[in-house]
Amino acid sequence: MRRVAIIGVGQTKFRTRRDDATHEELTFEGVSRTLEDAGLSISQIDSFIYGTMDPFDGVNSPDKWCVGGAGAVGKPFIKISTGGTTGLTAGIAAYHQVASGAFDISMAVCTQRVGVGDDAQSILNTCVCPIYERDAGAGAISIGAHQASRHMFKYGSTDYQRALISVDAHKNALNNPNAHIQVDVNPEDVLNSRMIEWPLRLLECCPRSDGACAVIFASEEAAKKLCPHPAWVWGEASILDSYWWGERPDLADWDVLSLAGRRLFKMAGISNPLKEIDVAELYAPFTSQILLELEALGFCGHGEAGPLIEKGVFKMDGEMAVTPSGGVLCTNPIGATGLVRLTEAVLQVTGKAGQHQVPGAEVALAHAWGGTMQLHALMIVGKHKR
Amino acid sequence: MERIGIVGVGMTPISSGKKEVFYDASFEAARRALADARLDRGDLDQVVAAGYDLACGRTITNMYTTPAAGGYLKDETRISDDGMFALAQAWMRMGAGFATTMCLAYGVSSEAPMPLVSNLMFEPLFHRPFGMHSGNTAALQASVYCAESRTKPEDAALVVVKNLRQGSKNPRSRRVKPVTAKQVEKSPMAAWPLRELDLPNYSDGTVGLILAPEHEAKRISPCPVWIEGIGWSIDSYYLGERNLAELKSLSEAARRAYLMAGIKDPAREIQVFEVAEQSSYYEIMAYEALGLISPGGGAKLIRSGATEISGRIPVNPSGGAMASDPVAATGLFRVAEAVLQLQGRAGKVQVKGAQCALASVSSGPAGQASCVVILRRD
Amino acid sequence: MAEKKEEFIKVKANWNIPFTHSAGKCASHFFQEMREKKRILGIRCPKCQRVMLPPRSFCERCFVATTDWVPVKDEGVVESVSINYMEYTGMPKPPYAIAFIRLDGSDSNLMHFVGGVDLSDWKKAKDLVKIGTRVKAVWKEEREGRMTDIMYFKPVSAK
Repeated sequence: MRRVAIIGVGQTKFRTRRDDATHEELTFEGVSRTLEDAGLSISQIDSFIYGTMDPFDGVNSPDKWCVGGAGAVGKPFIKISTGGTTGLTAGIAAYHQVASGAFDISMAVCTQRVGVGDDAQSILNTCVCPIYERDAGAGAISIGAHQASRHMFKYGSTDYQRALISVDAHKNALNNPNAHIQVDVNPEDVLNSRMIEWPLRLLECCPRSDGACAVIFASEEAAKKLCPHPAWVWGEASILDSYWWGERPDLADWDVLSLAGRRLFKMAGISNPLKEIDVAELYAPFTSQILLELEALGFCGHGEAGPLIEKGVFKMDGEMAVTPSGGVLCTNPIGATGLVRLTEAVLQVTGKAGQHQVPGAEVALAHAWGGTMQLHALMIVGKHKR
Repeated sequence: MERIGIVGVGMTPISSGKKEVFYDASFEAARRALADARLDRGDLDQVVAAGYDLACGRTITNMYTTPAAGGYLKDETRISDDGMFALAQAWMRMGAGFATTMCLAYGVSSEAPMPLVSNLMFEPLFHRPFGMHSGNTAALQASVYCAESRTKPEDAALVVVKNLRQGSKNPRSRRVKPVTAKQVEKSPMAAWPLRELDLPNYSDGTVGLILAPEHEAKRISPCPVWIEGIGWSIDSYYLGERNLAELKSLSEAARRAYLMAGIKDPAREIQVFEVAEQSSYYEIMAYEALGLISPGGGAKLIRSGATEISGRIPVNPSGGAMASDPVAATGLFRVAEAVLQLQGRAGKVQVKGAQCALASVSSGPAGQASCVVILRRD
Repeated sequence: MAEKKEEFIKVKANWNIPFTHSAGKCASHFFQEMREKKRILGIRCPKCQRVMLPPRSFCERCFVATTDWVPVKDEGVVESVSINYMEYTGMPKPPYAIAFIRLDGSDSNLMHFVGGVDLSDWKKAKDLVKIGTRVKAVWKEEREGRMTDIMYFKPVSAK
């Protein structure tokens, strides 16, 4: 197994709709930005991974349409779709293509236009089992809402703590030029926003976004020639739980993320996540999930995340910065979101995050979840080789 | 990179569907594959699945199939394409350190009208309004190819006759009856020049393969089948920009696979070909793309009988997609059939003494994307 | 020359695909029992002995087929809940509450509606359907063999 570097990242500005471009053209825009960042031409890319979640764009297998926009005509090209994890599993797939020695330079490309569908929730409902569960009208928000209600019940986390999570994310997004929602909010704004699905309010839920993102992975040798300051992949993990929500021991604890986290930290040689990791780009379309994720990944104990958020431990200038980009709460192009997490992690450890740079960040974690809170993907990148 | 061996094969019966749920079928295929390798779920390091969501009417279908394939709490990924692309990704994941692997593809064609599902593969602006789907796109390609190569409907009919005869003998195929060339030429016109019998037989079916790195494979199986070469490629989406008379992505995938496997003369070095044919004409075009004969010579090859099971380069002794086409699993079924051939377990459709086999698949309109695998036994 | 404002044409499209989903052997039996006997059956894993709801033909943990049907009560406890106030295309009319319910005799939680109480104001509703509430199935008179043969689960304390 070879050491792998990330030598280029790029993303489009995310918006509610991109009426000025087709899915294919948006792909081209994302790929072009990444090539520009890496200083490479498209002919230097050996193989491609394309990630998207089909139904949102109203095209079945839009990857086949977008080959030209990705620059992949005549090249090896594989399509990944794993739900909300798609973006990060696409990155992991490109990583494996290089780590295995099959290719020297591989690009993961993800495009999603959630704005094309008139109603994303009705599309999200199609991931619920039509035989037993679809009639109950559950969508993605239900997941965050159940986790919130259960976490409040079990650990006493509060509406106010979740409001602070929203406030921090929105403040961070103001400094990220690519973020979709850029408004300054205070805790009262969050608490007074409309009840969507109790206990979650409007400002505790992500928007639906259009945009594209691409990341270039290279072998150590190729990276040496092409990029003076790459990010290095320290480790990755993916995991799958049961489809059935009712099989989870307790919705307040994301135990399957804990399991994946332990595998990841072992591979990356991390023993104290809070001390050794500087930035965590967590995938949390709903405020409640930041609580569960911080606890599951061992950044704090169970039930401790809420009080620590009140103390500011996870702010930009805190002990570990959580989603300095503004995160999924402010930008969610579903099938591309996981790759945006990785892109942001890379920007941090390469010192290229601009206005939302965490000073001195050297190790960053990217996370995504998908399905019925069933799938997780994780990657750790570092400024230095491991 | 260490060699990867296939050490277990499990298939469900291929059927018209409408009875079993696809995740129950995944459990069945996975169980059979594990039993074939004499392993259990605990031995698996990861699951790599493949399948299309829209055909199943559910989003993220691997949520259901991967636990059924033994993936509960394991590392996994899902390819949204034919299972042969999942095999490629599984092979690379193993090169990056994963050990025993379940690679599983679920083909579901019975729950929704497949022409409509494939129509939605076309973007809504320039192609979809014209009622395009996989069948009439294959017809478009066939008509271009015929005009260039002077291949005739009776040549294509020979492919149908050959593959349905083989399918009728193969208990792992969907139940089909052999047909005569006359029956093919009298079957209803689907999309000129393709008749109903020139097109694949939409089916349901699930196949699981167990892969292991060489040092483990030799302990698990008395006769592992090695992945010696694998290549894949994709062509432009815009049909108007492609030369439809050639299967460009298939020839590029083959070039890559041959290079890796050190194959110089495929017609001499490979004894069995399992080619997922998108139409009868496609198989003839594939002879050329795979380098079995020079461009334009495909029809001559089928007429000569060389690609019959008794010929010098048997193509689709299993019956191919003409007999059973569980869309998204068709390619991985070809791999499974090729493995059984190399292990001498193909039963009534066994090609004698095969040491090296090729399996291929195409997906997308008019063979837009393709994957080719070269397999060998020791 | 003044620049003309760009116009972006939008094309409307609908995916209208009819699906016929097979329920399979296991769910078919489960639904028949609901339809004909107003009875909820869990299925037991022969290895780990868990009683699963909804029933599935295999246990993904032990990787064995499940065979033993076990009657469970149509009454149980709310384990988690959310209450919906937004309307979405093709989805139920709000307000509605989704709960995971541990039916007596089951080892996993079943998704269903909680109803029969006033959900219009979340400030009141959150105390009517909270975690720990005991609920009982309210069956339809005309049943067709699907999950909605139970209209909802109603808090036992509600009148």
